[in-house]
Parts: sequence; structure tokens; C-alpha cells
Amino acid sequence: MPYSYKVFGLSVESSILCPELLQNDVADGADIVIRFGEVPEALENADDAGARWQTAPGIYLLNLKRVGRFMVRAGREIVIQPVEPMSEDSIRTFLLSTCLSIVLHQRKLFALHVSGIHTERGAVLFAGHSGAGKSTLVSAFLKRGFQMVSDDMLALTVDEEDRVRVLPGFPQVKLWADSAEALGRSTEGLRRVLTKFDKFFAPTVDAFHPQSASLHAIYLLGQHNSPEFSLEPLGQSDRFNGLLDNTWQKLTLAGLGLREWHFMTAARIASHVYSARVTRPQHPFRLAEMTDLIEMDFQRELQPLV
Amino acid sequence: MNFINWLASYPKSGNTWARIFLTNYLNNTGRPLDINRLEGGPIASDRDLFDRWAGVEASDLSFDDIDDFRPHVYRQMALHIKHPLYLKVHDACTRNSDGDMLFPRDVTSAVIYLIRNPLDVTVSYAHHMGRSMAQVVDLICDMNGSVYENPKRLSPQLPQKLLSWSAHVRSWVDDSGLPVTVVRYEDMLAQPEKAFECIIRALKLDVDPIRLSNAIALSSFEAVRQQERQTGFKERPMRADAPFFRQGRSGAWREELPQALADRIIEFNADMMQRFGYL
Repeated sequence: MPYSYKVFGLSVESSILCPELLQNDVADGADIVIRFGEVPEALENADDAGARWQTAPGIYLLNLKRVGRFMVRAGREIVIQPVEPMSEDSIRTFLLSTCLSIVLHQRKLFALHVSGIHTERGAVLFAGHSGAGKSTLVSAFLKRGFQMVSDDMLALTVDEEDRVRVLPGFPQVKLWADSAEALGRSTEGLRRVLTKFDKFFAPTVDAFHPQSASLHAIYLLGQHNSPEFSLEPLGQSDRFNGLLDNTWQKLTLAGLGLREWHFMTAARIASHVYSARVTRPQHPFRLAEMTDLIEMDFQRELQPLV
Repeated sequence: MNFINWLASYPKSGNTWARIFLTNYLNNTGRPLDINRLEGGPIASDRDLFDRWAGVEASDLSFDDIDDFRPHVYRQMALHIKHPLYLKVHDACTRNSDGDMLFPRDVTSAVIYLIRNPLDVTVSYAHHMGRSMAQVVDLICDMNGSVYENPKRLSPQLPQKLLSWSAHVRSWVDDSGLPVTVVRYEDMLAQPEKAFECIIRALKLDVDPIRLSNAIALSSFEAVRQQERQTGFKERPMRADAPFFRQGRSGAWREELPQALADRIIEFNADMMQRFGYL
């Protein structure tokens, strides 16, 4: 009996148990099917290839030596052939990141690599390099009573009138032990992302906003080696580049035939959504000050710079 | 498709200086170029660069998996770049669990291997990292030496195997099978025209004597130190106890490195030090 879930507003029917996802109690027909099956080592008709992936129109293949092979088809189906012995934890790590992002793009939902929270003014998103503090910042805002919409992936849609909506992901943050400690959150009993790292999956079911929302602001997080913070609203081309840079799996989009859609959609979002670059001192991570700075900014009415 | 030129060295061996020179030579504007926008960056072990080209995140992978991905990451980059790329690297040149070279032959144009007396490297590295000289000597004399292998938290740089100082040199110069040109830091100081011309030739760039002497002048220690004073240098770690461009000379170990530590380095690395004129 497959499991039923809801993510990014889509119904999922899965042969693999995914405790991270919200359960779907309504029998509404599956938008996405996740199942085990045979996956070839390589695509016969590949148009493009990367580090361990290949694409052909409508098909994406990921081949990870120590985890398994994943095939994503037509925004509807993810087939997984695990290596033996199977590690469901490792499989879910790539299923719920890389593979889901391909599904979103194939459905022309813009998969953005951001964490984010829900506010009265709409969703506020945080993008940045690995280690920039995306998850830590969301956790800090959860402590302030906000609800989260994403830890590292969500989907954006743009309607005919160029209104941008956010489709939330699932209720979990990935936190390093030191960030959890700084936030006063215990890591006892949490599952590790990888057995050797002190990085944990922390569920956030009670503080999750599952409904779609309007998009209020995107902050690009950076760091430098001087002691000041800065917050600088971005012009349209920087907003556009910020969206391109922070698109999940953007290298695969050409091979999937989605490059033009990607550019057009990023341009439409960039012209309507406020975005700013926030730069913090590298060390130490002065989280409370950074959280204050960003909160003061997004509590205002914001207009994108012309 | 294009090719990658690796600017390889053990840390604190003149790599940044070579990049400043190269940036000035390539751009040839007649005024000093911004040290915060150098050619050869980011470093090949940059985690963000990996995440962008691998298609999966380093933080979801084991250290072995990361190393398995790295040659593919560089192949991807080579496939997409429009100009030859210069990339700084501090890793030793090793193979991953697939038996693949971390820095693959098929995308390599040239390797400049910058080498510096390990006694001076020790002094410079200790100031750079805000560590004791003894800690740096432990690293330099550790056959399995590595940096950024902290299991508590993946840092902005990927884990890098340095091996010992001697083994680092050997991995690139003797065992890599890549077209390597060795340039000594001490020669860059003593005979800059000759040393930098050697770099330019190895990178298959046209040698223009006027451009060469301009680029050398614009990347002099005084020039870059002044820039660091005025604008800061983004590659200086916050934990460093001195400016990045600290002394820019050779032989500082004689004043700063305790004899017992110098003896340990010499004992462990004597053959390689002798080979490159440091003993």
C-alpha cells in the first residue's frame, strides 16, 4: 500500500516512507508517483550530461555509486533503484532535494534554492551559498513565532497577471549541531543527515505554513571578513541574476528543454519582487543582529527598485 | 569546451602573489588591479563552486563521495567555460576511490607548481591561521595531513588532503603525470622577471617584456600591502593574527621559528628540501 503525501501543493503517491512530508488524507489522485524499479546506468538518447547526471527531453537520470540510481520522468514519476544494502535515509536525501526539484521544473514550477518564512505581508525567502546561514536564520525566526515555508527548496508560480505565489515544501530544517545549540534546540533523537557529520534533520511540523502565499521579499545572504553588517536593495538585473543563481539544478534545464521558460519566468519574478543583499561578518555568526536587521526591513512595505 | 590551468601549491607558498601578477598581466591596464577580484579564484576546493557544478550538495555527501565527484565537477566547468581557466588549488594531487585523478588530465592545460621553503611556510601559515608554529609543523610532517576535514561542520572549503609537505610536492611534481612547471617563491622574489616569465610561458601566453615588467611592478609586495591596508583583502581569515600580506620575504623563519621545530621539519623533509635548494 503506497504512502500518500502533499508537497508544493501536489499529491504524491510513494512506495518509500517519507516521514518528512506532510500526509495527504484526501484521495485526490496522484500528481507524482515515487516507486522502486529498474533504472538504467545511463540514458541511451542523452542530450546533455553533468557530474553524475544525464538528461534527455522529459527525462533526468542521477547515478550515485553509493546510494542508487534515480530517474525522473515528465514531472510525474520518480523511479529509484537503490544499491545494496539499501539505505532509505540516503535515498530520501536525494529524493527530497535533487529529484523533487526536477519534478517541479518539469511541471514548470520554479524550484528555488531558498529557506523561508511566512509573514503577514507574505513569504520572505533567504538565498545564499551553502553555509551562508539559510537554515539557521529560519530557525531563529521560528523562535520569534514565525512559521516556515521552506528549509532549502520551494516552488514559485507566476500567474497571467504576474502575481508571484510561493508553494511551500515540507516541515523540516537541516541544522548543524552548533547552530542548534545556539538556538537552544536539542539534537537528541534527531536523525543525522550523514552518519559522520553533526548535521541533523529537525522536524518543524508545528511551525509550518503549508498553504500557498504571496511573495514579499527575497534576501541574498553573503558574508565578508569585516565586522559590519550591510543591507542593500537590489536593482532588477541583480534580482534576476539572484533568481538564476539560486535555481535548483539549473545546469540540467537546457537538456530538459526548459532554458527559455527558466529565463522568462526569472525575468517576470525579478520585475515584481523586492530583493536585497544582506552581508554579515564571517565570524562569529551574530545571529540575533542579523535577524533584527532583516526583520526591520521586511516589516515595511517594500517596492522593488526600478 | 576549454582547459584549466592549475595554480597549485602547499598553502602560503606564493599562490596569491602569482594570481595577483597574472591578473595584472592578463588585464594589462597600467594600474594596479583590485586584489579582491583576482584571476585564479575561487579556490578549486570552494564548496559553493562544487555545489553549483556537481548538481548535488557537498553537505549531503561523505568525504569519499565528494572526492569522487570532484574530477567530474572540473570536467563540467571545462565543458562550459568560454576561456581558459586559472584555478588556485592547495590539495595534493591524489586519486579518489574511483581511481580517478582529482585534477583530471583530460581538462588540464598546464600546472604551475609554486614551492617555498617549508620553514618559511610554517611561519607564514601560523600567522595566517592564528595557530601555533608547533601545530603547523605537526601538519607539515603528517603523511596524512589534511585541512577542512572537520566532521562537526562542513566549512566553506571542501576537505583537502595536503599530505606532508614533501608528499604534496611529490604528488604534483613527480606523480601527477600532468605538465608541471615548478616555480620557487624565492626566485619570484630574487629574479622576478625570470620567474614570472617562466609562468607566462608555461601558461602558453605571449611574452611581452613591457607588460611583464609592468605586471611585476603592480603586484609588488608594497603595492598589494597598500591595497590591503586601504580596502582589506577578502581572502584573509578573520582569525589571522596579521595582515594577509605580512612580510613578503624569505628567511623569516630564522627569527621566528624555534630551532627544535625547524629541526623537525628538516628531518622529515630533508630530501625534498635538498632537491629544491632549501638545504
